[in-house]
Amino acid sequence: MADAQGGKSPAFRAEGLAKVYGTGEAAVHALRGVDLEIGTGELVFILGTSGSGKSTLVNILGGLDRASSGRVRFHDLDLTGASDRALTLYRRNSVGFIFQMYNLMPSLTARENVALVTEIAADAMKPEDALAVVGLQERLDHFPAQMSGGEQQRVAIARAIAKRPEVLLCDEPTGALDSQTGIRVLEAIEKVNVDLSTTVVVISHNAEMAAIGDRTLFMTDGRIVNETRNETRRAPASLAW
Amino acid sequence: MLRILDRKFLRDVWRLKSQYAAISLVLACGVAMTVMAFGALSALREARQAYYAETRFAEIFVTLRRAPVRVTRPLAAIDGVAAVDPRIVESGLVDVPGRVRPASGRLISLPRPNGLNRLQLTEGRLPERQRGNEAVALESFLSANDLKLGTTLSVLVRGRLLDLTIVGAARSPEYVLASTPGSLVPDSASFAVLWLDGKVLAAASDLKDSFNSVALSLTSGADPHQVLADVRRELAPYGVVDAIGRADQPSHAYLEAEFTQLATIGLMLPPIFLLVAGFLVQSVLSRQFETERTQIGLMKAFGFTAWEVGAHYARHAAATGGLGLVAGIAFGLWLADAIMGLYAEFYRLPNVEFAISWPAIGGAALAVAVTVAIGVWRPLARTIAIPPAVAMSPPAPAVYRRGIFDLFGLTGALDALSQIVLRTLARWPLRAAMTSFGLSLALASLVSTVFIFDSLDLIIARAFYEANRWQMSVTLAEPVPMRALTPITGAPGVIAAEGSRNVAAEVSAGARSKRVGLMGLKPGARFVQATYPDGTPISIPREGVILSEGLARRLGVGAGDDVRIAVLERRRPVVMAKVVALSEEMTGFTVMMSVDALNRMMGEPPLVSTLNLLVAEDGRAGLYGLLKRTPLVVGVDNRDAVVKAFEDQLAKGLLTSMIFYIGFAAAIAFGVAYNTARIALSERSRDLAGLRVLGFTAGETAYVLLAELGLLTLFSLPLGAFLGYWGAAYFASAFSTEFYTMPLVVSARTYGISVAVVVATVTLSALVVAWRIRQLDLVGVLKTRE
Repeated sequence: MADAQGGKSPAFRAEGLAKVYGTGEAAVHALRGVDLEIGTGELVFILGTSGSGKSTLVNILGGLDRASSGRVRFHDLDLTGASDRALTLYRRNSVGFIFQMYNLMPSLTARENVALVTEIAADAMKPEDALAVVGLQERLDHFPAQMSGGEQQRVAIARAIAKRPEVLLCDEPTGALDSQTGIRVLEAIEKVNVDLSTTVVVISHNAEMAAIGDRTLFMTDGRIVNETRNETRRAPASLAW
Repeated sequence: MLRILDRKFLRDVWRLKSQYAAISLVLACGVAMTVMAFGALSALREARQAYYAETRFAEIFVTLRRAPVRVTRPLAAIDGVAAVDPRIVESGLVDVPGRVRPASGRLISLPRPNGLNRLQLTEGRLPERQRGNEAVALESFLSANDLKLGTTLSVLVRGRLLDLTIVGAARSPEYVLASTPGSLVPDSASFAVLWLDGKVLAAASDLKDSFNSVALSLTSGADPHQVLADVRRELAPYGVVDAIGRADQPSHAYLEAEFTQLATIGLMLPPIFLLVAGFLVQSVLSRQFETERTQIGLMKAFGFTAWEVGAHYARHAAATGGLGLVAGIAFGLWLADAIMGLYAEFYRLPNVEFAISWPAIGGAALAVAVTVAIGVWRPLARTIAIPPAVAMSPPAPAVYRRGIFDLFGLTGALDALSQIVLRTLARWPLRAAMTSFGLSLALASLVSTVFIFDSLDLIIARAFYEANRWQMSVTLAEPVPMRALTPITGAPGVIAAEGSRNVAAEVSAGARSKRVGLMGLKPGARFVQATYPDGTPISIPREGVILSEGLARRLGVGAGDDVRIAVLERRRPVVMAKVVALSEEMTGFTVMMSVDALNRMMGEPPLVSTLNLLVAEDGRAGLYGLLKRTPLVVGVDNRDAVVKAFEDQLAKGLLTSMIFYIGFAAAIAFGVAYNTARIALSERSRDLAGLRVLGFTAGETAYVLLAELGLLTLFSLPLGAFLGYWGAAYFASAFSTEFYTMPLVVSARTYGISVAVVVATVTLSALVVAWRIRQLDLVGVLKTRE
């Protein structure tokens, strides 16, 4: 089992997680029994090739999808047995998502895109403060189409952290960005992890990037096949790819 | 073996089936309406044509005081006359068993076996020769009163009481829709048409070897107007009361007016449906172009020509149009067949058989083809024109800016979801406007059909309760001095009585003329009241005439102009008279003037021909008894019965059709609302899924779509109400016949019902779409490209 870092109580605990899409001969096994613990406040990277099951795992952790079998808990909440309504509330109050595609609302400005979330979350930051965390305090009233890709991704991060989520799930957050912009995004993610003690899970293709985390999980063919722990976390600014 | 593009086509159609079905539904409604209206119309016209031919329905009808039978010879010699059929026609009051109020009777000498206007026996037999007490009755009168053969009716004719036993029931081409003289709508129960042996009737009416009515048929190619003039001249010495062509024959004219209405409906409403369908084709196919951009690029990159790719998408439009056309034709034929029985009963035409109107089907097919072609034009042109490389690269993202709503500071006060709604509307104002316009058309088509109920209410209120305040109206066989009516006016239960005089006249201005009833009233008359269009009363002038607005329009005159009045009775005076005022007249064309002036014009002492009464409830039965025994009386109208007949007649015809049109209008609303919501859903599924990912509930996410649809519906209401009023105005004028003017009045109730139907259909389609938001694939949709 991939265990949480010593001393921290687990945010996620998964046992025998499996996910099958389709049935019979057409069945695709995306996850084939994953056991996992992720500690509260931990920064975990998941590496693996395309189709290794990384995204499926993160989608299940985020309440976007349900496992076919096995169990996964977020603290005391059983995500495998939760109702649609309970999963919606879980996403609304506890989870921040960052995707490779930024998924901003094109009809809302940066500030309004963040406000979209702060309006419904229980204990949210001001949108302006969340945008300041990612260095966008000067771009509050710009629409997505008026911003660069990096800026849009940082708005997406601000949106994800503005609700002070307990967990931040990032699926290839720098995949569409050049390295310099990518580093700024990683800095923002790290800052959230350190300043807010948010548990962070990052999916990446890039092994280099995993050096800024506490732990790295390697996935192949729907299983976690290896894990490494970093004694010290490197600063994002020291990375190059 | 299906080619790959054929397979893609079939799968696309299956995927978009509900949207295509909604478009086809709207198209089908328009087609069905046309096919139904014209199918029914051609069936009715054919049935009438066949019936007229079979019964040798005459083309000219003359009423005169008395002429010897030998006069028929010079009539037959008139150029263009094919056959001459002299007869005796008398009016009288009929005492019907089981009925308190007497019916108006018309007694007619039996047509000769090879004569004109032949009877068709539906039951029983013809009276035996010289058997004075036998008669055949109009079938509709017997059935309306539930009378059996063998019943004996007492008829008062020229002061003589005849007891007639009904031995047969028959149809007559002259009385397809039987209406008593001067009455507004056919009322079979109150109008007893009886045929009896000519010699018996001649004896009863002192017309031995004479006739007082003649029907003529024409040779083919004869000019009816010329023959009418010649006949009038030939018969002038015998006191022509009335000489009319078939067009003015009451039963025929009423049928013709109804048929015209049917044709009007068949022509007026379908264009609205086609307009909406064209708009839907355009929006759905434009959307398909956007979603399949990459595929279009790929197909071109693989070597399909632009035209092959274009043809592939053109097939989608053709499939929708074809489905709508076929469904519409099938539905229209089914409807036509279903309502044929109703129409046959309503119009009392025998042998009405379901008919297919090929011109209507051809016209509908052409209209559908043109509509779909216009709708598909723009998206198809883009599909053909776009270079493959451009098609395969993602489209430029939509650029939002602060828009009109931000200028007014509206968005600042709103939550983020509402801002999305407003910005989306502001971003695609044209599309929002088109959707709103589509919904406006749905509302307009409802308002402009539902208003008919208001119009009928107003006709009844004005014509029967304001313009005519009498409870009972007694028609006399001939004008008499008021004092001769003392037995009636002094009878128990009669509270008040007013006399008026009515003569048939032709009123003309320049080359235009119209046969009308000329009504003479006492100045200050209370029971019959002319009113201005706003409802205020017009007092009867000492000199000059009051014309109804419709008549004034027809003659092209206004207040202050002179008209020529030629009386068609007795001494037939001709005078010029000044039009003093124009009145609102919803029921036929009338001219009113002072009764004293009318009598002076006739060169006669003060006479009345109609008696209008206010009668106490408990005095009515007794008064009816008295009237049945009074030789002078030929007709008794009871206002409540007239209103009921009016409502019944309309309920059967017009209102039944209305139900269909209201359903059709609801189909437009559904088609527009459903497609709008579905297109919005597919275009924005990514954003919506994003909202779900962020933790918004399905309900909150649906709000973004539904609020937009709600606002578009709200925007559509004022224009829809305005267009509806405009449509109602057009309908009112198109529906107005010689028999009644349909007033333009649209009540709050009509707007309320119409808005409720639109809102209900929009809500229904919104619910269908909201349900689909629950099923959004949150994971999958985030992986598709921006």
